[in-house]
Amino acid sequence: MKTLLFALFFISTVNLDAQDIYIAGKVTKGETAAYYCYKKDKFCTKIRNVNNIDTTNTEYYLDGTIVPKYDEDLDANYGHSQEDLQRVFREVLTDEEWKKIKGKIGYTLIFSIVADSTGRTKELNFIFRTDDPVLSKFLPDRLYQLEMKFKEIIKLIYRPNAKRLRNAKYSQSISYRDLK
Amino acid sequence: MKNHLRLITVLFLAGFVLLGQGCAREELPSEGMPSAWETANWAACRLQQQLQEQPAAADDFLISLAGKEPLYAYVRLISMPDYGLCYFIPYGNGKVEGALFYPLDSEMREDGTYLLEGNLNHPVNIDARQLNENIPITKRFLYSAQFQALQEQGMEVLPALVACAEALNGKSVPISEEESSFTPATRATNMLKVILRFSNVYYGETNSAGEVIVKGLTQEELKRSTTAALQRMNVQSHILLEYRSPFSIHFCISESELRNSPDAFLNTLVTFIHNDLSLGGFNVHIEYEYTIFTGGATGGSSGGGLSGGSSSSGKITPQGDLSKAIFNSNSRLTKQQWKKVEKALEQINQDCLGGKLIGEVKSLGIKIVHCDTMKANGSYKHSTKQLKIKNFKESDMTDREFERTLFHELIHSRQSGDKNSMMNQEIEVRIAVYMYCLEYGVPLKNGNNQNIALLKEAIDKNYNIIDQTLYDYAYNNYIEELKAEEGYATYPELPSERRNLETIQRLSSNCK
Repeated sequence: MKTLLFALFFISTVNLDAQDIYIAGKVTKGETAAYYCYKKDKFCTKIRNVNNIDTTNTEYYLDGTIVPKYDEDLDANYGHSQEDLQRVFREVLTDEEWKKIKGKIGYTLIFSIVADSTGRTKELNFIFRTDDPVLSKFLPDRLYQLEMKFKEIIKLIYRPNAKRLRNAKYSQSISYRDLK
Repeated sequence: MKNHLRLITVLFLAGFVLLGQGCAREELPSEGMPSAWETANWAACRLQQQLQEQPAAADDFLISLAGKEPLYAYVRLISMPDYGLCYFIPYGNGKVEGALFYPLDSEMREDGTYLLEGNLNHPVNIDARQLNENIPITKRFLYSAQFQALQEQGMEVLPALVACAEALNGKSVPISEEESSFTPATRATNMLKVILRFSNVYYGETNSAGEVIVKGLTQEELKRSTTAALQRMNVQSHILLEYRSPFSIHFCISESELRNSPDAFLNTLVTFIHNDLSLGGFNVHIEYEYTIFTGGATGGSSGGGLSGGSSSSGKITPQGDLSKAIFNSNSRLTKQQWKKVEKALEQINQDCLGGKLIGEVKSLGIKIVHCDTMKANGSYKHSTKQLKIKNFKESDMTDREFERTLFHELIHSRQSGDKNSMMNQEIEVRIAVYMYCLEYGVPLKNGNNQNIALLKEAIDKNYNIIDQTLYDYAYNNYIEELKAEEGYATYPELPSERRNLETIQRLSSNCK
């Protein structure tokens, strides 16, 4: 009996460690933020803050007209560098977490970004590997901390006379194999 | 048995002969196709042929017509900024009530003529309501002018279709009797028959009251400017012919009036016209085409004529070492455009893969063409080695987006061009472009980059696949996303080619 109880306790402990924080179609709540998992499969998990509302692929110019899908030009430069992204990521992770991911081939953190007409990041979604050793275990409050930090540094700088967008959409990523 | 075979062969050949007897007599296969199809109009015949070859397009055509009577005698092939080359198919019972604009795939050849590739896209129905309520004011004039041209040919047209063109005072002076009765048979000396085609003939701006206003050039203004330019060049006599479409001028002059080669003469002429029209705030683009008729010839516009090719205002042969090495001497761009091309090539040349790419494309003899009516930023056609660019962004000295487009199309030029694996080839190029943009901080819009970011994780810096499961997953998702994008839905894809990154692997070999 004792052995059986011990075994049950052991299994439940293991399951706790491996339990899914983010489940497709569900909201995971923290104290400061809640995240909606809008897609999850064997390879990828995609989550966004429940307050993010611009969830389509449609973009608009300032005058309200829709940006043609084939228009690939942003008329802007990035106001941040890869080093900036890596630095902020490093600041939020613990040493142990950093060790787990640095130099890891095949893993990445992708941001899907919506910028306002000044280039400031309005909304930011996270995409990572479902078996990411760190981010898959990130609770909503820590993810929120990460979101706020990235929102601060990720921006577009529109060129003079650029045809600005009300909601420019673009992606950025951090490749773990580049982390040192 | 032999007799049977002979009979079958004869019937087969007879079928071909009947097919070749002119399209005016052919029956359309699709049930319910309008019956009034007999016309000598070449464009209508060509349209009929394409509809016969594409039953789905014929169905689209019928649905869009919604029972209206097409006026086949007035079908024309025109170029519209929204669609590129398209059929203009007016319809109506008694009076013109609207038109279908039916875009089709085409390709501009070395000699400046269009090669129709046969694929019809989707017809767009423009009636009075659509024109005046849904076409932006900045474009309405271009549509309305097409209807106005019909009116000037004697057709009765709904007033609402021509109101916009008339508001811009776009009335053409009737052709004089002398001009309209002119025939090539009366010529005694060699004649040069010239067609000038104008684009960018309108512009919009916000006036001091904050209102958006549109200004458009009228046919009359184009005739005035052309006549003035001819006079300025001391041409004593010329004959303006009836024009067949808005924004083009047709005229004839005696070859003896030329004091130089036809090309030199016409280059100067279009420069004069361009300068004259720029005084009114228009930055028109003018292309010319000419045919020389030998003395006494009585043929039509092409019979017996010598094709003179075409050129454009202010456009010159390749400038800069790299441009000269890569693009053939038939390439014509403005000086500013060549500057952008050269600068972009220099940047690409500094990249390891890019440098190798430049080395490989030097021997190809690519023709670069400016095509501001295309939807995509660029395209490359293997059969003609023609690289088209939509926008050179001449005024912007800092962006690298033009460089990205050029890099993209140049990589295409090194691929097989196999039409069965167009999607695979597109993805291969996009992977390389993504890596290039990442390396040099060139901005990229969303454009499905999330899946490319995943693909990147599955390959090494020399594009060797290091995680096949992840690669296949991301590749599959990327195909689905691309198919949802305009223009890629019908791109053929071969699963056997998904892991084929040979072009970019070869170009990046030895790169660190």
